[in-house]
Amino acid sequence: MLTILSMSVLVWLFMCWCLFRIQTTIRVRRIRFHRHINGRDASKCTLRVNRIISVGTHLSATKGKIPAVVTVRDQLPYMLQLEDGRNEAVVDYATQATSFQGRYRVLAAGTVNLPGIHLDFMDPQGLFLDSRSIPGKTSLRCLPEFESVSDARPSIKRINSLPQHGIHRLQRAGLGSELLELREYQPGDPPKSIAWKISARRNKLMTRQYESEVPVRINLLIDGSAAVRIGGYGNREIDQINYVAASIVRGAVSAGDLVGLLMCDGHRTARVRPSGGERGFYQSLEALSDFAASQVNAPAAFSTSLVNAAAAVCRRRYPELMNSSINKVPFTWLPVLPWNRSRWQVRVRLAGVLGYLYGLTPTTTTELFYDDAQMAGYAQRLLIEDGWPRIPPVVQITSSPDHASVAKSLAKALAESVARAHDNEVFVVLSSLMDQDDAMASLIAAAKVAMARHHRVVFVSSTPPLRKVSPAADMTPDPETDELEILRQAEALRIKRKARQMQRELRRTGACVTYAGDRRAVSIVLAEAELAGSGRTLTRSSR
Amino acid sequence: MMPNSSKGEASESAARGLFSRWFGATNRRDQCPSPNRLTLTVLAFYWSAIAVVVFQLSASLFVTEPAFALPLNAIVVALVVFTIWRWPGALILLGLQAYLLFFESAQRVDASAGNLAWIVGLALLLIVLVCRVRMLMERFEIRGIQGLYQAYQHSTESEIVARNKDLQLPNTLTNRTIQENGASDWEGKELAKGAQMILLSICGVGFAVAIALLGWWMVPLGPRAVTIRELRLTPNAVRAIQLAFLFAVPYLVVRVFIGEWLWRRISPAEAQVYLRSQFTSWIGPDTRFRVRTRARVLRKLESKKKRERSAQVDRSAQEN
Repeated sequence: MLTILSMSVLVWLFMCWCLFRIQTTIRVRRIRFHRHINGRDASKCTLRVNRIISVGTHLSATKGKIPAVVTVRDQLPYMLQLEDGRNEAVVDYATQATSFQGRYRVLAAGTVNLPGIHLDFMDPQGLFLDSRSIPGKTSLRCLPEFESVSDARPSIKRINSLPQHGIHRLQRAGLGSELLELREYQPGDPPKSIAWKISARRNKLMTRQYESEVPVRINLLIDGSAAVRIGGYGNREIDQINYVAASIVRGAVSAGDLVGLLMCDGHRTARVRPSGGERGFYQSLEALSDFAASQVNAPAAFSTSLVNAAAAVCRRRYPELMNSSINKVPFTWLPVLPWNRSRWQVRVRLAGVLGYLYGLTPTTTTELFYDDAQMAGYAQRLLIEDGWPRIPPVVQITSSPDHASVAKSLAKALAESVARAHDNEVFVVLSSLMDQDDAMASLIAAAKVAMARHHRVVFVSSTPPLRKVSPAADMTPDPETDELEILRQAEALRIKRKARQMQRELRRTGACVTYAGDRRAVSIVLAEAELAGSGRTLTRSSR
Repeated sequence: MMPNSSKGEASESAARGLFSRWFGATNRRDQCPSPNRLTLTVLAFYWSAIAVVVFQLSASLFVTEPAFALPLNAIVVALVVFTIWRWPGALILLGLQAYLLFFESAQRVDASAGNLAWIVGLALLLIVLVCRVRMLMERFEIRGIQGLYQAYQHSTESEIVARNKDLQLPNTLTNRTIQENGASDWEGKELAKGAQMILLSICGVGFAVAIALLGWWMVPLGPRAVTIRELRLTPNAVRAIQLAFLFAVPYLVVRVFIGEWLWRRISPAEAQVYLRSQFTSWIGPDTRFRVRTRARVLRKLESKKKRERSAQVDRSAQEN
């Protein structure tokens, strides 16, 4: 009797399984989803750093109902931090439509790729589980945050004093406020500009000609190497650089100056021509955003955690492709141990999905099974495209080898810009200057050339995200209890010393040095721009 | 009652932690919807139904063996519940099945079809109820015995709070009414779902029992199974083995049919990955040989370069 009982249970389970597979396969094709941000269609939105956005996901069935039981998960990239609300919903009972909403904070500038949604189907008894995904890709541009400097002066009137010896101003006729010269009246001149007293004295009509208000050109040289991209979103050095750069652009545009961008990542240099006005401002923000999103990868080191992370991403985004019945693992006798065997199977399945995603040939796909370096490269690419921050295991954090090449690129770009410059311009180098001990020489040489040609150079170094060094009383924590604190303090002291040394070296050239973490960094750069416009030395802003 | 002293609080929290570790209770109750009184009533109904079904099933199964009724009852029920509660426990069910094939006494075979259907129905009902209770408890993050106790306690406290609030409200529409009206939709659905599942399971039972009985009576129990009998198997075991072979045919047919149907419905991406995996399985050994040879050559070249560099350094040091 018990035999029949058990057999009946097995028959029943088999029937349930068949029904579940058939239902899942049919119904998943009928489910559609729509995502909206702040009540608008997600594909038409532009995000801004540090703003809170409301992301709503609406799920509906084109025919019939959404079957029960389904767990719907909208796994958004790490650039968006969930503040409030939900990013998943459980459909307990068959329904026509369901929706859920979450409030997210945008952490960093760049591109936010919103993937499709993940569905976990279960049968009503919860005995079987099938993971599916509905594909969809929406890319949103995320503009950097900026500060509106309150004391940005419009260039309508410069100070009436003579410039220093050797500093030349570009003088040409225009509609400024400074008097350039007097000339005879010509038909068509505005009657308002007639100098009546002088005309009476000379007995002929004379016209006042004003100096043109030549806007100052500010060139921002931005370091976008892999070293400044390491860290969690919002805590990277490139986030500081973007913030300062965007604030400088805002301040300069408000003052009527032009801003150009030169962005180096160690391999290539992108240039945005100097432009002003609101349009130029938004063009610059977009360029900064695109540059932050560009693929600059640090060398990847193969590790099991890297492969596991990539496999987890594939399981979430492409569960069908990781299915063992689709993505087959070739039979081998080795490895024999079960845990090594399961690791090998995960790697092979991951290689299959990577081969499909990046259009690799079967030979290259097979090489990924055995070649650790290649596998690490592709796994890193997948994780970065999925929106993972550049932290271990995605990148290997060592002493960054590309500092020298980035410094050389920046120096070259600075020299080229100086060669192209027309009049007194401001060059702002935004880079991670702390660790560039040996590579600083080329940058200093280029800065000297710029200063010799009466341009102004400002170095803005990114500040490592460290806490303040504790007071003397706390400097001797118990080593057994707080080793991490000792390491932190040692690192802070080391950076302080390096910063002092770097400042000393750069100030010898006559350039101005500040830090991205300094509140006055933007004001200092704008003050330098004002000086370049007036051609005078003005010690209003502290260096 | 909560102790006031800090020592008491500490000991209580420590005990709570230990209890949670043993019984799997969770502290994340604030992150999930808390069950209201009606939900807990449904849950209690399910638990009662499970108890009744277990009692009926055990009574039907072990009625003729009073000596072993209690321990066997407990073991079998624990195995069945464990099997359903944790899916990997299905292996235990299969083990039980294998054991019964060889050791079940022959007298059990004489049971009537109606009795069989009744027992199978009860067993499947038990499975359905346990699964549903498990899903409900997961939905409200109720873990273990302590979680269940806390949920009931929490519900009672919230009831008292709601009643006190009702007294302060001048309107006739009280908080409790609003709460229950809002929840009634959900509860109604839950009850409808439960009824639907029970009906479905009864239909499934009918079908499954019919198939099992058909198979069981189709295979004759006679002196024909000479070759297997030589292995000293009991007649029931012989018949079960024959039956297993017989069931394998429709199983394979259904399996192939579903496999073919699913294959025809796969997306182009899945087809690409499938073909790619087939190709890689063919060229795998060759590629492994090539990659490993290349790695070996690169390693040798690197070590050679390293040696040359160190030799050069030594030479320059000697010259200096």
